[in-house]
Amino acid sequence: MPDAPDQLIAEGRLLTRYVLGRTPPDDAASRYAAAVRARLDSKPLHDPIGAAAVRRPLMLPLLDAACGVVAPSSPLRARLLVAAAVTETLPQCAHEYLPRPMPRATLLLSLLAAGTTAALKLVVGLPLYFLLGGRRDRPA
Amino acid sequence: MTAPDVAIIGSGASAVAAAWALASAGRSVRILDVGVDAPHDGPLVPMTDWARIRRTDPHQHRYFLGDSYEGIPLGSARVGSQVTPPRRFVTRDAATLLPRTDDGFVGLESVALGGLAAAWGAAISPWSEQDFRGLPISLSDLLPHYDAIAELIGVCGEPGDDLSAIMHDPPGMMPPLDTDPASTALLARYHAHRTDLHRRGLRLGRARLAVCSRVHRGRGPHPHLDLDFWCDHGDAVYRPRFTLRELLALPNFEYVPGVLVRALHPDASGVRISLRRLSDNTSEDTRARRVVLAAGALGSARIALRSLGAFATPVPLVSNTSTYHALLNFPALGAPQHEHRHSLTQLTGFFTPPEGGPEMQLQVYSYRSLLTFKLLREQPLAFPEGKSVLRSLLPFLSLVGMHHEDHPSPDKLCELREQAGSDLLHVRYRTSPREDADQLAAERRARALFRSLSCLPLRRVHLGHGASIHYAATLSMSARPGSLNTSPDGSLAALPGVFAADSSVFPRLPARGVTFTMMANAHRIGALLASSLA
Repeated sequence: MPDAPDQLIAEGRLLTRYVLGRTPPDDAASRYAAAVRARLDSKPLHDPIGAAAVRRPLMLPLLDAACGVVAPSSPLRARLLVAAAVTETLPQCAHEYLPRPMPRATLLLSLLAAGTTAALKLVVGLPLYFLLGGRRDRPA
Repeated sequence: MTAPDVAIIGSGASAVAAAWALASAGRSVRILDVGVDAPHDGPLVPMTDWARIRRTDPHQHRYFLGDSYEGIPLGSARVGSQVTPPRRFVTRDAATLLPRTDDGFVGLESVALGGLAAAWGAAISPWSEQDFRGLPISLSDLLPHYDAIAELIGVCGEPGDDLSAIMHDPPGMMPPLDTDPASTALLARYHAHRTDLHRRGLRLGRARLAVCSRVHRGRGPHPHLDLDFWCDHGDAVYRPRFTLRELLALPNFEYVPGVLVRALHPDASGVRISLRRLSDNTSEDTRARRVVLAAGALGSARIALRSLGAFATPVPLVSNTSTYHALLNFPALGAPQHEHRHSLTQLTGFFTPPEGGPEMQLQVYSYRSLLTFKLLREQPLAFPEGKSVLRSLLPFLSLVGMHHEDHPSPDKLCELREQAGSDLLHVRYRTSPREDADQLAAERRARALFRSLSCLPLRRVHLGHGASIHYAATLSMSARPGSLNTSPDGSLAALPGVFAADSSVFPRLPARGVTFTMMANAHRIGALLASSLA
């Protein structure tokens, strides 16, 4: 069984690839691990939702969608934020985050596609989230 | 050390303004300051535009995220988004050296060189005649000092626009910075509906900024690289250290960093100042004929209360309530984009209900240079879809800051409490349900005005009371001062020879930002003190 640092690198590889939508540069995962160690903890995701998302990557988009609505301050969302921060500040990935001006029609189609995908993920993700023992964030 | 005519506590915007007035008039001036400074490891941010940096600089994570990744906003605290990793020095050591407990308050303090103004957004809004209601000074008392400060710091804006009618524009105002495409489109839409919008209480124009748009006093011009949250390229955006640099060239000025002033003890020949030298944590005393408190509304109150032994004695505290509103700015949809832009306030507006009521200040920004990932945590979609939607919306996303006035109340107080041989400041801050309702109602009307400008208001974010970083009223100025009040000349009734020159002297805060007025008033107090010492 890999030790915690290796697991954190593997988690970084998975989450950075997920937020980017493609394979990230090599240093993304190591920078992710450094950021998690500096700002969160040195262990890989170990809460039931986070662990499930890492163990079964097919569940990751579904659980991310569910957490975005019912548990925005969950460990999984925090780690995804770290993955986004790390990849956004890699010059090879900058264009994936820069504003993207587009004609109105393309914009509408793009928003529609993103909205539909998000809704479908949520429809499946919410029951899955609660089935795995997830809880709603308490209001601040 | 020989006792100077005046010792000034702090090096922020009000401290250097008072020092400038005093030193220019020939008085000997010494600034006593903790003076935490930015690391001097060379300019980290390349002198090129933001988009190019994003595409090319392999070291960008060092300043965008910080070497300890402190720029990733995890947890619930969202105050001080302008305090980016290169500016973290602004709040460093403040919690340790200035202990505070808060109840309903999320304020920031600073012991940095330049104080909180080292990360100032640089928007200036001179107060109107009405804003001086209840103060023992008037707009006409401050006008020459507004102009003197404008000359010192450099101010740009568009003369003769809709803001000129309701706001004093200093002579010598430099041309405005270029607005970005989203705000240019919004302003054009405003001009097309100007008459109706005036009738409904809205005035909008290009922001007045403490920024040199051309060369002025060896600073500027602003390079329009969209990096204003990250660095001070060209020294164009005003920082107090620029005035300190000019002061240090004068023979009658001295800057003493590394000391924390604890208490002041007036006596027959001036003021004895008790301080702690931070390098070896030793205590010592120094002297001055007069002392000017300019350590911030909370910091100056701390020193005054401690000097008087006034523990568990509440003093008032006010702070502007600020909320931020994301808008889809449809007039900007399809506007050609360019890289020649700045990150500061693009447009300033004022909303005053036509039937009467308090003014609300509006500041319009675009969201780009603070990075997209920070918005990802504010939206509910899965990250890939959230990223896609944000990238599509960013070219026409505007942010509007809505700032309200604030008055003292029995629920907005701070007091010094003794604790284990030391002390800490306790802040209790609560707004009344009536205040909250009135502010929400005013915001609803302002949002309706933006809807008529073809903008779609989305989310409202309230970062918490104190998040505006505008504090006042702890040593309020009064024509009939009590022991913890200041006189119109800034002198503290209970501490002879001690003056306050920061925002602590304002008994209330209008919606218009305090920094420029605070500097003008500090300059006024410095000039009066210089005359009295002549």
